[in-house]
Amino acid sequence: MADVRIDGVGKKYAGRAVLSDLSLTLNDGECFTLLGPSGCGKTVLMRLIAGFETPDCGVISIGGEPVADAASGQMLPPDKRGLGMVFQDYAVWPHMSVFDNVAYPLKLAGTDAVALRERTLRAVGLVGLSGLEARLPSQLSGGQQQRVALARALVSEPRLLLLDEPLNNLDANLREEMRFEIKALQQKLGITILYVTHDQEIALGISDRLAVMDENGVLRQIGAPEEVYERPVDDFVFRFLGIANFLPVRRDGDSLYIGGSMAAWVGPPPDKPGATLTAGFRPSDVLLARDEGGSDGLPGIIRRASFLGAQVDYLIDIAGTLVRAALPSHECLARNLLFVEGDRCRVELASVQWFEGNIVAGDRA
Amino acid sequence: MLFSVLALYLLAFLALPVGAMVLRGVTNTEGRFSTDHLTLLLANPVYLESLGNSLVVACGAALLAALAALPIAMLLWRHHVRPSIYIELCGFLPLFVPPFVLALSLQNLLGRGGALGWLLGGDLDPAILGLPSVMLVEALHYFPLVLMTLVMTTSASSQQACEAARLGSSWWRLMTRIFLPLGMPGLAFGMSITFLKAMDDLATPLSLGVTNLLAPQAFFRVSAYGSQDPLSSLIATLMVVISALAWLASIRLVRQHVSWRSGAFAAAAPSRRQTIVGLSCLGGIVMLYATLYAGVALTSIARIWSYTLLPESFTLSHYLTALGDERGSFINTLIYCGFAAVVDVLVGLLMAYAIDRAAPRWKTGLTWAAAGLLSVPGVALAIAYLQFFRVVELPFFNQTIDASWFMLPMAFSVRGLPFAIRACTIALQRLPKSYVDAASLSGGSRLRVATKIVLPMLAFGLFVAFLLCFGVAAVDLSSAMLLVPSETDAPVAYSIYLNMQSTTGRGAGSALAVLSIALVTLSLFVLLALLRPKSKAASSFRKFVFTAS
Ligand SMILES: Nc1ncnc2c1ncn2[C@@H]1O[C@H](COP(=O)(O)OP(=O)(O)O)[C@@H](O)[C@H]1O
Ligand SMILES: [Mg+2]
Repeated sequence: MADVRIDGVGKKYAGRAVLSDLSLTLNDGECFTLLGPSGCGKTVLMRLIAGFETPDCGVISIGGEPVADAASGQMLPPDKRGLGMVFQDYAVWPHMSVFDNVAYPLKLAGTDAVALRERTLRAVGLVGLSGLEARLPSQLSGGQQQRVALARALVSEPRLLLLDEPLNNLDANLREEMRFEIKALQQKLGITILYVTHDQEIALGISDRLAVMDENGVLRQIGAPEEVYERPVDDFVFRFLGIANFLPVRRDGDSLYIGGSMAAWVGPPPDKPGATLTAGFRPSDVLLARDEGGSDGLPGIIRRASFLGAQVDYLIDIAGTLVRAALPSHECLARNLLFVEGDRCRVELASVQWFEGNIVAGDRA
Repeated sequence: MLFSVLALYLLAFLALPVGAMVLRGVTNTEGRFSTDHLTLLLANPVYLESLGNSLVVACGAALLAALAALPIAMLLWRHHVRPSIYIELCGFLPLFVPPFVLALSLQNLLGRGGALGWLLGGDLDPAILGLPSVMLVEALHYFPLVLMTLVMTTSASSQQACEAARLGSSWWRLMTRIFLPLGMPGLAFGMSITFLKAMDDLATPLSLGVTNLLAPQAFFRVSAYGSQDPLSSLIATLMVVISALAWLASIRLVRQHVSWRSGAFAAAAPSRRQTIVGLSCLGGIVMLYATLYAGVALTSIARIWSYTLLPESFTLSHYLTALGDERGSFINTLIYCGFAAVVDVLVGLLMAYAIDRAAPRWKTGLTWAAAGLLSVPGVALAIAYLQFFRVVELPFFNQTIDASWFMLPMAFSVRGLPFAIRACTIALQRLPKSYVDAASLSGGSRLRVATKIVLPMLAFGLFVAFLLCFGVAAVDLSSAMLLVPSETDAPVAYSIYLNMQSTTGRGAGSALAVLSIALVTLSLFVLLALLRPKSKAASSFRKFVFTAS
């Protein structure tokens, strides 16, 4: 069993709290992703779990056994925690061959020569590097070095695998490929994975469950990818999981208006109370139509049009607020929706997330 | 524990000796503060004159070298010529060759009976010109260093050079508006090294017969009145103060941010014009130094060479003498410099580690303080040691240690420390924390992690540090001349000097000098060849000089 329980953990550096009172549980055998912006404390949490750092308060247990307990001062050293880790910079030792790198954990565990060779070759094969055992890391590409790190983390058959942004330095194609491979490996081996990243696409693609952490190291939401994507608890999570549009909406009796204008809100009704609200939606939620004098949807003016191959990107002014829309190119062509700057249009929204209060949108457009 | 060793080292071999020396200069026999010695010093016109002369020689040498380097660097910059790493490295050769060799070479060429000297009637004999020739020798010796540091800072950003073209093509405008601000860190670095070295140089003025400078005066005081003489303390203190001030002044200029990545430049193959400009500059400089050093090179293979343009007959016997009779000095060098370099690598590694671990607000200061060790003159350090370690009795030997073998290596190690710290810092940067963490995930003792992971990953960097410190110690004549107990204990550089002082030893001395220079050049290139890939070598070498910002 390799469930991980983090209970009220806090960590300070030079008087500044990076994590405070953080609690989180990973279930046995799941791929759990921690998603958060750079510098929010993801690596710190990972190093706490691995045992490279000591928590200031709280308890961390792996498989039901406490490995770090700030109150009693009990600390299990990293090598006794039964985990493997892939570091952000791979940390593949440059003076050792691929084989020696991967075999290192077994050597230290005193594995006999025959088993050591067999298990090392198996791990190297598992990550698809068979035949490259004699190479030095400097003779490998970035993606291959990352696989060496992965094989080294897996060779001792850990119950828990910690991956710290391992795909960051890879190019887009390789990143995609490795993402699938990690997922496949996890299903094959049935181990628990904690995957840390600031890339929401990887997070949504790879995880069984994920947690979103904000700049201050506070967990905003934990749940399955679809759940967090579809029902974000607040605008931070909504914003973090993709390009976000926000339209301020004002409630006046039974009527709804956009922002401070007299333009009426047309679209899904709010599920939140209050006089000031914000409607959040993704560019792909925007449905466009030509303005033919009708009153369906919201009136808009195209401010910028960019043709991006498979899709067309529009920047639309709706009663003074700019929003982004993304339409499939073939649909634009088929329905005569290729607008140019200055064109009038009607905007309908397929789905809307409602937030209370007026949220000033971040870095849109 | 390790850091207390560090503190002990700095206290025992730097702070206490130098502190005691300063105190000796400003206290009377009862240990009270007094200006008696200072009054004495100022009352003697020789010392005042020496102070003035030293400042003139050091400033003059730095200025001359800069004046010679500026137009050439500017020309290279305007034509976007970036020298290869090998050529840049050659610019640092002056740090590993003692300048007095150049002085003696010039004497062989221009002296009364020299190759050209007899034609000119001895009018240009460097020994007769005196002070100006010391200045010129220092300037010539350190010119390649100033040029290369300047080229290194400017050629990296020749992107700006393109934009500069729009400012109009007035050379003066370009120079003052763009080139100088860009190159200031490199120029200031090169000039301050020239200043510090010229101020500290003992062998060059002595071999040219010039004595009215601070370093020779301090040397004579110690030889004449013994090491406890308070006036030598004062002169040495004065040298420390001047050097420290010069260093502080240059820090302001060196600290400007230098970016090596401005512009993806040098990727393209050089155009013909660039090649021509680059090769003619390089060729000119090589020709110049070949001529300058011809005096030593020819002497080393000449049977007789007097009152003729070229030697009349040649022989290799000087080399045999050098290798045979002077074997002792090679062994001495190996022992002294090897010991010093080992101490340097150990202390340097600890220091680099401590600086790396220091709070960010301390880091810059500590880095500069470490580099500031460069400004401790060898003459002053030697005098401080002579005074300090006389009073320390070795616990087991029941004798004072003032003339013992150990002062010289320790002095060498303090002088090499700034180089060691810099090299070890770079070595440590090649070992991020995660590489050690990755090993500790598998357990094993600290010793095992140290031997299997940490040392192999640091090994090359530490080896480089060792060689650097060895080289720096090997040319450090200023401390050696004061601290070497007897001629049989002399290291190579000192043996060259001693040989060259006698007419019979000139050939062997020159042969030794040629051998040493060849050895230094060779080891620099072997080192670079080992550093692969080349781009990595280049970047860490450039980093060595310039990332203390
Ligand atoms: N050893 C340390 N000393 C001081 N501050 C640290 C240390 N490790 C991390 N921090 C700080 O903790 C914060 C979170 O860092 P980190 O966990 O590395 O972020 P990320 O989420 O990008 O992995 C950062 O502000 C960083 O400066
Ligand atoms: Mg991180």
